[in-house]
Parts: sequence; C-alpha cells; structure tokens
Amino acid sequence: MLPTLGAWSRWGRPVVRRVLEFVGLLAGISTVLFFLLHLTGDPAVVLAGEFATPETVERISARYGFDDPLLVQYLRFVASIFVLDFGESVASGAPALGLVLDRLGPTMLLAVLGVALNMAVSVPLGAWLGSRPDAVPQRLGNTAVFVSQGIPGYVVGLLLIQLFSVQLGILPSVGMSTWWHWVLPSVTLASFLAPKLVRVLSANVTEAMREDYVRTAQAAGAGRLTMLWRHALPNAVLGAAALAGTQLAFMLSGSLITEVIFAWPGLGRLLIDSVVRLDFPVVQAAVFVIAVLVFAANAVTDVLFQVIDPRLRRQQA
Amino acid sequence: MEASSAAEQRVNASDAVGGPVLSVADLRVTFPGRAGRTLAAVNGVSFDLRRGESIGIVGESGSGKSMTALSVMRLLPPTAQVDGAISLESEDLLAKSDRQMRRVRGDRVGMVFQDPMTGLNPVRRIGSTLREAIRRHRDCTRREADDRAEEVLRSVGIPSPRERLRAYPHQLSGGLRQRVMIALALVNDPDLLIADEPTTALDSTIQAQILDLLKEQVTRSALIMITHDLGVAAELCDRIAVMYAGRVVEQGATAEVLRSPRHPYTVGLLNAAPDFSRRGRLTPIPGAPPQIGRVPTGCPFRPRCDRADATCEQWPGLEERDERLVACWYPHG
Repeated sequence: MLPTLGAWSRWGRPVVRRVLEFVGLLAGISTVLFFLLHLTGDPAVVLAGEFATPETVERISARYGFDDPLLVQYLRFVASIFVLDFGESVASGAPALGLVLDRLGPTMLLAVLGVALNMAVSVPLGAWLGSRPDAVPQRLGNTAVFVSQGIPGYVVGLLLIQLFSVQLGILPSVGMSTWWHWVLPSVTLASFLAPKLVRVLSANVTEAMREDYVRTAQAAGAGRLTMLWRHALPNAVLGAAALAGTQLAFMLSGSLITEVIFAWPGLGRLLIDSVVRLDFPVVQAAVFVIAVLVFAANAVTDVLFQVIDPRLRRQQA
Repeated sequence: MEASSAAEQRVNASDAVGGPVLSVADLRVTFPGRAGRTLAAVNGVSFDLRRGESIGIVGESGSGKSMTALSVMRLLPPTAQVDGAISLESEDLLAKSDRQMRRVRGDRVGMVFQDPMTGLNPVRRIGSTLREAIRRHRDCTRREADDRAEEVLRSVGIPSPRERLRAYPHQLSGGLRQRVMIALALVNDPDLLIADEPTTALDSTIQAQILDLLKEQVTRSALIMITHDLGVAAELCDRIAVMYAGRVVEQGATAEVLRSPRHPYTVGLLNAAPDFSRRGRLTPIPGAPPQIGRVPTGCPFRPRCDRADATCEQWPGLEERDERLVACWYPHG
C-alpha cells in the first residue's frame, strides 16, 4: 500500500524533522568539542602535561596533527566523529569511545533505578499533598519537601552511607557487584530528584481536583478517593510526565556526584576523572555520547507522550 | 418566612399529583465573611417539584441560582452554611451523611453542568466514565454496564453508541459531549434532573436539540433548569422562579409570569430579552446586580428600580396573589 499524504504528515514529517535536528546536533556538538580542546591554548602542550620537555610537545603535535591549519584540523575532526573515531585515551591508550561505552550500562542502570524509585515515591506523595493543600499534615509535608529540595544530593548520600554502611553495616556503599550495592545509590539519586517531581505533581493534583470533570464525577456519586485516584491523578501525572522524562534524560548523562560517592563505574565518574586528567579524547567521546543519549531520551519521551496522552494520540483513519 | 412557604405550598397544590419528588423550604446558604459577618448567597428559596414537573430558576450570574442547585446536590464548598429544608421523596437531604449523599448523587439525582468541553475527563473513554457511574450504584457486570451505557447514549440521540463508548471526549463535538453529560446524569434513571445552564456553551442550533432532549426527559422525572435565559425557561418549564441577589422575587406558572410580569426586575428582564420585549426594542436594566456582601437592606433590587422609594428599605416579603408569588411593594399589574 502506498503511503498517502495523510500518512506523510502524520509520521513522515515528524521523523524527517527529527533526523534533521539530529544532524544539526552532531554538527553543533562536534564544533563545540573541537574548540573545547583548542580554546585552552596549544593542545599539544595541554596533552603533554605540566613537566613535558619541548621534544615531547613536538612529538605530540606531530602525532595529533596540531601543526596543520586549524580548518584542516577541524574538518579532520568532524570527519573522524562521523566514523565514530575519537582517538585513544591519553591516559590508557585504549580507544576513547570504547572506554565510554563500557560505562554506559552502569549509568543507565542507576538512572532507570533512580528515576523509577523517584516516581514510585513521588506519585502517591504528590497525590496526598495535593489532595488537601490547606490541611495541617499536608502543610507540614509541603514544608518538609521544600526543605529537602535544598539539601544537596551528596549530603543525603553521605548520611545514608554513615547510617546504613558505617553504623548499621547492613548495606554496601562501594561498587555495584550485587543488587544490594544498588540500593543506596538509587535512593540517593531518587532523593535528589523527588522533591521537584513531588512539588509539580502536588500542584497538578490540587489544580486537577478543581477541574470540572472531577465535579462531574462527584455529581455522579464518586467519593473523594475515586475523585483523587481515578480522575485527578491520571491527569496530574500526565502533566508531570514531561518533567520525569527530562529527569531521566538528565540522569542518563550520569549523575556525577552519586557516581563519585558510591564509586559507581558510570559515565559521570569517567567524565570527571578524564577532565581532571585532561584526557581530551575521552572527554570528547563522553560528551558526544551524552548528547546523543539526551537527544534520544527526549525523542522517546515525545513518542511516549503520543501513546499515553489520548489527546495527542493520532487518530486512526 | 412562614407566610411565604405556606403560600408557596398552596401555589404548588393546585397542580398536585402525588407527593413532591423534591421539596425545598426556606433554603438559606451563607458563607462566613470578614469580622464575623455572614454573607447570604441564597436567602429564603422555597419550591416543590412533582414527577413530570419542571421549574426554571432564572437570574443573572451571582443571583444564587447555581448555589440553589448545588445545595440540593450538597456540593457546596465546605465553608457554606445551609439552613432550611431540602427533602427528596420525603427524605431530609440535609440530614444525610456524606456516604449517604454519595448514594443519592448520580443515582436518584442527576446533574448536568454548563461546559461540556471541560466537564468530561480528557484521559478516560466515554464508556469508562459511564461504566463507573453505573457500577457505583448498580450491582452488575462490566458487560451489563456497557449495555446500559449503550442504551442511554442511544436514548440521548448519539449515533452508533456502541462505538462511541471507546471514544475519548476530544473526539466528540461540543453538542455530542453535552449529550454524553446528559446521558451520564440519566444513566441510573434519576427521580430528579438538575441542569445548570446546559445550553449556554453550545451553538444555537445545538441548543434547540439539547432542549428537546431535556423536554422529553421531564415526563420521566422532575427537572430543575438553572438558566439566565428566559427563552430557555419558557420553552421547557411549567413554572419559573426569578432570583435576584439570593432572593426569589417572583415565582409562578411560566405562561402567567411571561404574560404579566409583576416584579419590576422580571419586567426588566423581559424587556432586555429579544424573544419577549414588547417595546419593540431592547431596554437594558440600568446598573449591575450587587456583589455578595454588598446587597442593600430591604429589597435588593431597589437601587436599580424606577418604582423604589423609602418603603423599599423594608423587605416586602414574598406575597401570594392570584397563584403568583411576588416580593414587591409596588408590583406591576
């Protein structure tokens, strides 16, 4: 069957737009990455390190082609990116992209666990807080959420380690070898994400409870719990799904602090280590992979919206 | 107060067949105001309604007409203080617990709201909303509920009702959505249907269809029609109660009230309505209705009334004359 004009405007146009956006993103990212290295002065000097002899600098310059005109270097760099060649790690000599991809699994695991836990806690809590915003328990709860939003993630992480690993000795705090190791990092990540999601959900629930359709349900005999869980909450969650999607995309780039505290072998820690070591090929590969991931996560969120929100779902002919 | 409700009952007794479905007596709705004052949103409304009867409660926004409807449903905000008596089939609705009221709402009393665009849950299918309303009050299977939902959608004139059960509200037009809202209110065969401005948000061609639909329904239950549109009330209702600033100022048989309005406010409303003005042109009522809390003592209409004098600083009371209730010192006719 030939695709009709309608099918084109429904599926073709959005897909083509996405692809063009992706090409634009690659071009932008590669330009930024290129200048990231050259902004700091002579990259050969940077790569050679503080105590390098002039001979070493020269050797590096020749090896990486820093003697060539800037434009030639730029084009070569862009071309290498399109074949996914980011060079070798200065520190270890291993291919930079491989190092980065090795860290992807742990980061995604932590991101998914943290975001899932975040949603599991935030949805009921936000529903409860938003259902009666003026009642005393909810006001206290709102204050607690507000305060917790001001507590930095690393403080929570360190407190959790102190309590569960040091004092009680029931949960491990370093590495990711068993699923017991996953608990504290996920909780830390969720505690960092949840206050914001709870606040948005609670505001959405309060607003939804005033909507006409909730009153319609009440006029049909619904009790408070039905009004809240079956009528207001689905709409409130839908309104917060964009935020949850953004949080997931953000967490895919690796949660720097959580990964460092719990010695989690993820993307964020690799990025920090590489920046400290001035290991530019790895930094470039990591930034590139993160950009692609965030783009992909946003695209997936968009598509997901069409599936879960009936108003956006495309009507079948 | 006693006099008015006694007079009211005699007016209603004239067309009595069986006991009233709904009886509202001296209804008063107040809200706490600043410095211990109370603000009256509804002030002494009384009427009886039998099966097959319909009453139109007519007034501008803020006149207390919607508050009257919501107090029958017990859906007023929790700060509202409701006094007087509301009884459904001789049961005191004001004495019922929340749980008991939930069994009344949607089952024995159905309500249709003004805006069909916002009144249906956007993320739920029509069938799911209807099914929930049916199974809350009836012990039946999902299948039986679907059959009932289909039946009621067909009865309100929705084409291919079985397929519509799977539709989301945004897939339906405004007129169809209002039919769904009416179906939702009728799904459990209520004794009383309350319609709060059900046609205001609709195109005029659709309005007529919805009014026809409600007219059919009147024969099976009793209807309270809340409207600012005298034409709608004239089309649909046996009786009219004209409300102003929380008070009923005139109440009687629709044809009589429209032919010979007594209260100056009713006269003003008619002269401002395209369908009824006998002056050949529309004459607006000067001024604006008072805000709640700024209602003048005595007759609330007196600042806008060309007949008012010092006597009107006393509330005239709702007096009966020729089967008509009028609250005015200087009525027309």
